[in-house]
Amino acid sequence: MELQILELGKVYRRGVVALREITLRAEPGVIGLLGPNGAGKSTLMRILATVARPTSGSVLWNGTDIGKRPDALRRELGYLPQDFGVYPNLNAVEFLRYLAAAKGLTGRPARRRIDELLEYVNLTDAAHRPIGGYSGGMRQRVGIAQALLNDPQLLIVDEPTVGLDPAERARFRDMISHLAGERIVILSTHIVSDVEAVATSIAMVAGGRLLRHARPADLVGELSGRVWTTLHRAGDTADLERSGLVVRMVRRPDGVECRVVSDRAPDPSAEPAEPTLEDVYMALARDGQPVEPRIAERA
Amino acid sequence: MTGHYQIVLADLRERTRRFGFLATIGLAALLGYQIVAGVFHLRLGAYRGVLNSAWIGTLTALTLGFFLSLVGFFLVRGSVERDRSTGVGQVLASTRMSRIGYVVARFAANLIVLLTVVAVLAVAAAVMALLHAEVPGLDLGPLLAPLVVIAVPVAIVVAAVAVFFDCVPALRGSTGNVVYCALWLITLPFAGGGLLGFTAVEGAASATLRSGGFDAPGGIVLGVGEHDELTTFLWAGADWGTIAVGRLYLIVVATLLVAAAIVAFDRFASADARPTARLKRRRRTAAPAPPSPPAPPAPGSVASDEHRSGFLTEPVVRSSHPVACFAALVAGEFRLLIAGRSVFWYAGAATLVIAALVLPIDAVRILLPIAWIWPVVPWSESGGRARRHGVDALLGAAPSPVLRQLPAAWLSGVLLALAIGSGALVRFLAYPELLVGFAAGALFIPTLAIALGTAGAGERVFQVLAMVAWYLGPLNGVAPLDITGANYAALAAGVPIGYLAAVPVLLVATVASATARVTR
Repeated sequence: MELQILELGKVYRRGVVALREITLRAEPGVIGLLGPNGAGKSTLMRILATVARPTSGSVLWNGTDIGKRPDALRRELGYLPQDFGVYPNLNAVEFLRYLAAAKGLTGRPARRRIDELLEYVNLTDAAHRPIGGYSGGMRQRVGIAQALLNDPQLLIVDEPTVGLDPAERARFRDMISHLAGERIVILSTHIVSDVEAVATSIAMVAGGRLLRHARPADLVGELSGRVWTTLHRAGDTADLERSGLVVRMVRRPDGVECRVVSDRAPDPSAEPAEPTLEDVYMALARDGQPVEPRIAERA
Repeated sequence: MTGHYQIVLADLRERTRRFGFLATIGLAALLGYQIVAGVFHLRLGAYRGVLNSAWIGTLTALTLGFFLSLVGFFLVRGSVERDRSTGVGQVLASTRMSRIGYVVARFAANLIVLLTVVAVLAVAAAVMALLHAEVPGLDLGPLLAPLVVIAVPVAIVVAAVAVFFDCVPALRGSTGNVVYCALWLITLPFAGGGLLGFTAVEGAASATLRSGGFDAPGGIVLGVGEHDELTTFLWAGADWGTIAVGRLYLIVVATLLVAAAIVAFDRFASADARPTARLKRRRRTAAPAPPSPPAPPAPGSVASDEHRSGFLTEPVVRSSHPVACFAALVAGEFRLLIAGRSVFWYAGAATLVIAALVLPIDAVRILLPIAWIWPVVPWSESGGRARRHGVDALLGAAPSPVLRQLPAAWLSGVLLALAIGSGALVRFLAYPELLVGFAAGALFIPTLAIALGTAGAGERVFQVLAMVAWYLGPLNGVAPLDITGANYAALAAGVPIGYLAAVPVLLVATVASATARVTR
């Protein structure tokens, strides 16, 4: 089982470039797709889900070009888009039966699968209520259930935890962890903790480019010895921002505790800190450039 | 006041940047061109006015009033619903915005859009007066007076009706579209003359003719075709001031409609999640709150064995029978067509089936087109439903989205036609010559609906087309629009066969359109 993305590009009308020559290879496990808003994550997801076409490059699923033969992937695909809708007059069972039929699942096996999925996403009690009356979180759970209807080999989930409460988010991460052993899961989000918890590798995207694709530990390791915390008086952080990348500021009674990414200590009182994936993400999100070269320039 | 001005301004910006607005302005410009080119003419019996500024202004005003009364409504309606569906309404409701201020602002925005169309036609009328007048010269007073006295009040009433339909819950959306169409068609023959200014112009023009020694001219007709053979008379315009006073009641009507809209407007209190009575009953009988999910694992950990044992053990078995799979999809599409309709809709459908079984056969022939107006709203949603509800990405990721889902949607539409027409079908079995008309209606109408929906034409286009075709064809005997051959002339002319022949063409176009959308 293998997904290959080869020099993928997408240019929308009026010349808006969404993706630039993205090349990536995925094997079973969870790939966390991380990047700021407008990075091109959703466009990439839509292309991988065969609902949009690239303007250049190709995507191979087990060696088959899905641009030419999309059904080769669609049979094994589960897709949860970022913005998806429901038919408000159908209840969850009816809606899932409809989508099951669209995916080629019918009869008793489909009904059993739907019952099981509804139980898993905690919607059994609400299963026969019109979806139009569901809360945002409940609708999101319906979306998760439909993505798993056909036991997909490739599961693409775009911002899946939006609208879920903390317990549901944890449950969803648990589910992703479980699924990942047997299939490829591509999880797009800008919630770093979601990715950090489950991803076997992380692809960082910004400005339509793939900046890094590596294991979380490797990404974090690149900032080893370059993250600092220091306490500053309130309103006196301008110098600090010039000496490094301030990734977090926490106001305290005695000042502002700043977390800074810099090759050397930003001030004499700064103490070294353990880097986190959030540091890597913040460094990336600030200017959309690969972290390593930018720091090297400053050094 | 500034806040309300901003509501009007934002609404206008939103509308005028939509394709529909540009298309309507284009249509108005086309209408103006056709008036300029002499396609439309106004006559009283065998007479028409000499083409001078006064006559051209009157012709333009009457044409425009007619245009605004139907197309204008569909151009401006839906702004409140848009605020509701986009969530902007919820934001506005959390401000100090008053119900009166909001509804009046929406009415004002409707009116400004319609007055823009009036302005386009006023320019067209001036061009016509300059280029085609039989009496040279542009006389702005007589040219513009009928536009102000006839077309502007129509615009005011239409703007008010649109906001009223937007605010009354039962008239929102597609139901309101069909109700307005039906009201327009039903009231036009006996009240249209007064509302649209034809009666006033007819009275004034007849008086002019009589004062010139001409015979009683007969009724006023706005139509198309040659008008050179008509006898001309000099029309210097009517006493527009008096006519304007007589039309002041339209302003009162509009005011009452806006007032009623203010009363009906719920200030976006009825969010989608508002439980229906049925839902409330279900909630009362529902089980206690769902159990809490299990405790989350530590970051980076995998699910526990206990968790795994209960997780999705049911094997996924894909159907090996394409027919069974397709049948399930058709059932799903059919459910989408009829789900969520009111009890009255189902009762009406059942009544139409039963009536067709018991009425005389000639009555059944007229009843059948009415029966097929009944599902015009569900049909109009075909083709565009997935896009409208945001389900298109989910369907697009399923295997063969066009070649499986689209035929299922089409077939479900035909099945709905067969279901509601089943009473007539049973009766027609004894009259085989009538079956071709039945087949034409059952196949062509849902096919047209899905073709328009897939092409992104919007639900209103099909609804208006279906209503107008129904009114002109079966009810008024315009043979080319009598799809089912309800009148013998249409049946003898082979009209239903023509519509049957159009079905495969429309289907091919629909598949092409859907394929283009899926593979963008």
